[in-house]
Amino acid sequence: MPVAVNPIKLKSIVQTGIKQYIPACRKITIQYCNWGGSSEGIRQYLKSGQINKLLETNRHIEFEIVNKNGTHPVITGHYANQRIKPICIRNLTGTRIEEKLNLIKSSSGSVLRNVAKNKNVQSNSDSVRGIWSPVHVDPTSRYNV
Amino acid sequence: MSMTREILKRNFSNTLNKSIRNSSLLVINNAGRINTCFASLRHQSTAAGSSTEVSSTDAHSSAAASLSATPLYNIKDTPTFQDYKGYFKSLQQAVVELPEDLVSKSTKLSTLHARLHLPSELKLSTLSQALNCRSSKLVGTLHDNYNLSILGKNVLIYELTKYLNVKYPRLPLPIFNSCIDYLMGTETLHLLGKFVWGIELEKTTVMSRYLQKEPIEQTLGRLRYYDNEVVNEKGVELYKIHKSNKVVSEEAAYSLAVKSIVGGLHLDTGFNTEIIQQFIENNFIRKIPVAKIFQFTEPIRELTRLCERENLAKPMSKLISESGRLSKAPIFIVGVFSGAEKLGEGFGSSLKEAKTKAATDALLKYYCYEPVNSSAQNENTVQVIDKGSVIV
Amino acid sequence: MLQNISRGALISRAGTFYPLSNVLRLHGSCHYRSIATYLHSGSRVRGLKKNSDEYLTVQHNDKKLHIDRVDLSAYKSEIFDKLNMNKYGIDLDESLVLQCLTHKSFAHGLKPYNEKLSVMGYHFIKYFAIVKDMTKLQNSENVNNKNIIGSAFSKKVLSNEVLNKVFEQHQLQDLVFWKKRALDHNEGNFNGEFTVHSTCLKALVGAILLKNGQDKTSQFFEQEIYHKMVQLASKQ
Repeated sequence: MPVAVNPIKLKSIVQTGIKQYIPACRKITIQYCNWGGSSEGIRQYLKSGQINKLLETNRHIEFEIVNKNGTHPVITGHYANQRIKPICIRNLTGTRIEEKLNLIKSSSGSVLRNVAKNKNVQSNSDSVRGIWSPVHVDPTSRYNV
Repeated sequence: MSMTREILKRNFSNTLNKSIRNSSLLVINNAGRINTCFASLRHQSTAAGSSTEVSSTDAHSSAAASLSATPLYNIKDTPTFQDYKGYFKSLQQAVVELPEDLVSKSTKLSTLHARLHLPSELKLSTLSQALNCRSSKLVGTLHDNYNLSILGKNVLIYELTKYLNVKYPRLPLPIFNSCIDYLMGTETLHLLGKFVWGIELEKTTVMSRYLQKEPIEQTLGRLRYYDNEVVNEKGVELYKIHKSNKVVSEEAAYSLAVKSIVGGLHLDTGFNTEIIQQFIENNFIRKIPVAKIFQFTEPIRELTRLCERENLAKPMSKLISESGRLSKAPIFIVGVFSGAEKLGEGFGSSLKEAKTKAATDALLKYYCYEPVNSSAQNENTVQVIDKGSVIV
Repeated sequence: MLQNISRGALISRAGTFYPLSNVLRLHGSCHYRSIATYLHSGSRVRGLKKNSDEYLTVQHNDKKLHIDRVDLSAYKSEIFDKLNMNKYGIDLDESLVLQCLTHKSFAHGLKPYNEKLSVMGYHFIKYFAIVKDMTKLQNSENVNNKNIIGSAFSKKVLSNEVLNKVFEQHQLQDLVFWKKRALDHNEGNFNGEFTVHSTCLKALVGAILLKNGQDKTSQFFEQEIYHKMVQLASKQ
């Protein structure tokens, strides 16, 4: 008896569930220097306790604060797609630091690219309208070879 | 809370690591047994900067050399070694007992818990247990994720089978299995666990963790799947060492962990069907390109048999339109009809090809049928029961 | 035989006699030469069409059952009585009950068969068993019990052999439609009885699950089937 239907193996793809989004950022490392002038802003930020609010609202992100003397301060995002995004925050203060933290927090971690061009539109779904076909038009007005 | 989530990492660890790489290497196995058999079991020594010098780094020669070489003095007597032994013991104890105060300190566990929107009923200790594969050998068989993974696998396959039976009631069994594999196969679960849930692997050895003075609770949030006594180097694959020690791949480990988290959730919520259904719906159910799985061997014959079984008129293929029959690139559109009803349509550069495609189209429309009010929750509304696929 | 056809009558030695008018009506043609509907009974001959009565009938000991001539309501109530299904408020269509007890081997898959239903049922049974085991494990303080899951015993509970025994305890084996490998061998598992019977039992569970929901199915399954499975497995 011949096998009537053979399954073709589908390639698995990375995809979150349909109903639930899982944030891509899993860890943020804040690295600062105890003495450097470029770290002044981040030192103030850490001392002021503003970071606590960030910790409370982002329980899904692991925060690591590293003291590394003799370097510029850096904040690094670690993402589920196994990439990292380091941003240097030298000489930045309060609100600018928060901006950078937000940027890291909400980023997907994938490579940056220009999404303005139409070629970047991708979908796994078929087009809703379908594709126009010349051989399905009314036979009286159809062009025949 | 904020204090527990902060980890102050000291910067001396990097410099320490560098100095170790330059100075000394020793062959040490589980809790101080000097192992001379496996080059892969090499470890970085505790005695950083001390005068201990045993073998070169060259893999093959070091194994041979260390066979004959005897340590200059008994390493077990050094205070550093005793310290390391203590660290190892407390690590082992932590993984076995998973005490609540230690587990709650683990930032990796609590963030994973929050990231997956898990309910508070799922304890962090269960989550940590789900990340401990039997192959890691750190603990005995009683405290790993084996039971949880079997429970999780069964829950998953049961719920997904139910879902598929409601969503696509007429899939033939091979296709059905392929769909299940697409939703919960090893490959899928690996990608889900690693790239979506962001579960981390425990890749460092116990020794280097000890050297970096890493708090023990950190490892509780990582996936442990191989013997962390052993250095995991890129390009060097761990092979079976003992008969009892089954080596699993990273993919398999991730899939076990994901299944175990599902199992743990089901267990800790007291086998609550609603919670687990919601979790599976949120994380595992995705769009399946069902039509792409099919590959018919004899579509025309199968369609004829199908119509015979369904008491439909014998399918007839009719030419709907054509273009360029005499050119080098002709195109034919063929429809397959049962009586007056059109079952499917296909195109092709020959009549035969178009006819086959039309039959395939008709079969796909039958097998991939989705009932209109299909919803996994309302089990009582299952309307269509599969009669079984046609045997050609 | 060909001579007979050309004269306009169909007579067969081993097969059924079909009056010509019948055949004509089937084909809607008046040309004698286009008719060749000889329906063959008995052992298979290449190129001859089989008499459908033969492959739609199943023989259990002395009893013959034709799938198209089954009294569906009586058939259903017999199965419901034997499995005590009315007690749990279970409702199934008559045709679905018949489908549950029709194996894929029967009539070359022409009649609705139970393959997919049995898969559904099997996954339910496995799920049910492991939840039972896990609850047992949680409640017991005994460390040795921690290895129940995946043990040889828990596999035996779910084996075809045990399911077959449960099926036969309910005396349902004479209601199954399937094609035996050989009619004259009835001993043991020669014809694949274990697989066929366990498939039917799983399919019944699967059909109940899809039509009546998990709660009713769990109740029914635990009372009528599961505890018998455990009993039989521990006896062996």
